[in-house]
Amino acid sequence: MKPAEISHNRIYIVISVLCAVGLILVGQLVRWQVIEHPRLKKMAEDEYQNELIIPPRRGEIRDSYGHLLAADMVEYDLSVSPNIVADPAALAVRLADLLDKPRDELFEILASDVEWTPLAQNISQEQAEKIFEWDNVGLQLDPQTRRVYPEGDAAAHLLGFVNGNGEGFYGIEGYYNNLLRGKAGVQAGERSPFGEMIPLGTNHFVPPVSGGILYLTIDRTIQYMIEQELERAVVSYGAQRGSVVVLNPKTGGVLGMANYPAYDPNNYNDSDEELFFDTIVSKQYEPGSVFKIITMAAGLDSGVVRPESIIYDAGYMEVGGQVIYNWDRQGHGNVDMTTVLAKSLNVGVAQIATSMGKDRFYNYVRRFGFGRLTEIDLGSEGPGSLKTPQDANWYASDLGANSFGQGIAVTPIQIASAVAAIANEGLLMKPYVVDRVVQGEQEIQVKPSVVRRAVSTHTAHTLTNMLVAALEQAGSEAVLDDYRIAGKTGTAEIPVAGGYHPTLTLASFVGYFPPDNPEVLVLVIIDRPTSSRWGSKTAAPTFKRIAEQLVIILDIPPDNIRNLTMVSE
Amino acid sequence: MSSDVMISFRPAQVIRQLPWQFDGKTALGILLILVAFSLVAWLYLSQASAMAATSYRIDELRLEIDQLQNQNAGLALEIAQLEALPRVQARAQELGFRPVDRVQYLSVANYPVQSGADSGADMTLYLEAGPINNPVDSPVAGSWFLDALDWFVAWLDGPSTES
Repeated sequence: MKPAEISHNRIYIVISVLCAVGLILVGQLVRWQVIEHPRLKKMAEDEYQNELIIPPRRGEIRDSYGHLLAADMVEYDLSVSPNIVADPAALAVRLADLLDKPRDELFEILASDVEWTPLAQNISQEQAEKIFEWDNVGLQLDPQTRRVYPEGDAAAHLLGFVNGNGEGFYGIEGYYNNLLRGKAGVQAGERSPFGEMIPLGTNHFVPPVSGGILYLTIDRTIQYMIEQELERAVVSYGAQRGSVVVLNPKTGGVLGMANYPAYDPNNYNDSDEELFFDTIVSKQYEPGSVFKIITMAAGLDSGVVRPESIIYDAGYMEVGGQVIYNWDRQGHGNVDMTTVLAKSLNVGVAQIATSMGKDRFYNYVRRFGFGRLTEIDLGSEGPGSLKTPQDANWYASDLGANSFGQGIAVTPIQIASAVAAIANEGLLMKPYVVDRVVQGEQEIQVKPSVVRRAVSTHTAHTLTNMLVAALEQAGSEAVLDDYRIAGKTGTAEIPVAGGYHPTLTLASFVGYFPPDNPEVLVLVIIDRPTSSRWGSKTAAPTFKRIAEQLVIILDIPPDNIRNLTMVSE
Repeated sequence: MSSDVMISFRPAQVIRQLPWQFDGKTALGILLILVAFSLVAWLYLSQASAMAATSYRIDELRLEIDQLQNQNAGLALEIAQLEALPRVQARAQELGFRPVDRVQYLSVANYPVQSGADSGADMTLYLEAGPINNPVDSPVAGSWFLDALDWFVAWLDGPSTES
């Protein structure tokens, strides 16, 4: 090969190598600048772009008069970077005074070489502001929101609680969690190497939206009073637990609802989880003789009986192969319907139910809302348990037992709402606890809701008069001086495996007043009293003590004064 | 390359050798352009810095608003805790108050009655607790007082103009 050819070949080889290297470089450039461009751009933006989520303020809960029942409080967690603290001794002195902690302990932490360490938790707003004023580089304050219930354990079951993540559980906090939570805000933009937001360039701010303020139907004075009376009753009667519901029968608005024992939602972690359930809406029980109000209403409305109808009470009756006895195991001869209520005769109401027939009887029971949810705005509501002839496990004997409130399971709110329908001229109202919601400038008023007509107005008035007369005839301990009360006691046996407990009962009383223009209904339930098993001796006196205070709180004049007022009008 | 061209790098020579020499008018024009550009740049920078300062101030004010809202919320909570019923009840008992167990109502003849739910409240005067002795159908107690009140009201109204 000639030298010129050799030279040319070598040049071609070098050119080829250079082209190959060039192609590789171009390929890499295409890879990093075209293919990987989106990912690398995002990586770069993440270095200087910052998106800060601004938590919203959770909505407040207030009673019907605006008293605060639940609100957020901001506290701060204090941490320190000791490695950049300039004068640990001086800072230790200041912090010791402010936080009331030992100075030596603080100095030991501040003088160390660690990069970061927590120093104190739950510092108040006032203390945090003083630390802000110091403007010390090494100190860092992180705001923490804590839910506070200023009334302590009052209305605990009704309110529920909020956990450390800001989520509501049970009661109103749980049911209205989405409304109370609000909407988080966003602050997005470029940040400096020190982490501060740079106001120029792309900057995006969406303010947080605070949660709505809920005004309840609850009157905190009534709530506090019934809680005190309930605790007193449960303790003095040696009971396991108790519940009280106070309703406005015309609207269904709940004026107060209490369970005992309760818990403090400020320290829910210290309480047994079983206490969190609101038994008024979730626990079902056999109502006993209180249910005779429903049976009597059904009998009157269907025309099967009238107040003056007479039945013969032999003291026992067979229904569907099961023998039903009166509570006193005695026969009372010829009795009218008011006497059936006054003496709480199981045989009497069983005759009414059987005379009506099973279809008509259960139709009325359903019309009063049993066997389904009341749809009260509280979580974990139970529907109770109602067997009807359409169910495979219904037997003919159930008709007799159900007529006096055994073999059927209801929740306290169901029975209170059903009896409230009698007080409200036969109209069944949907119970509710939130009266209005305020969100910014907007206010939403919750209107009372009629579920259906359970019985006629005439039936409701007639039955109300019978209930008043029955209480007076029985010499009930629920009756107030100067006020007529329409009501009924109940003493229900408690079902256990294989039958009913021989001694323990669930004592109750439901009543409303004034009978001519009912303003309030009260249901008292005392679970397993030991001093006396009877509702007339435990729940009825408790009702009386509550009612005596309610007439003062609600400014209800005695019957003679109201009658004079109506005459003068 | 030709070997005849002589290039000098001395500054004075460099200037003389520059192919783009220009006269005074051109120089003035270029200077004016530079001045105008500088003014615009200064305007832009001053506006940008003012915007930055304002934005920082907005952030500070937002933080201040947050802190004030937190303060308000804290104060409202403190008020609520001080107004809590157990505390109020305990304080009332310390001061010697006792619970109301009876209310005495005074019925006033021909007293104007408001319609609606408040009519009962308008008809009542709350007096010191005492037992109510009158049963349901008994006359209202203290009728001499009512007669005296009627006379006083009539005296205030003056002579009647009705026939």
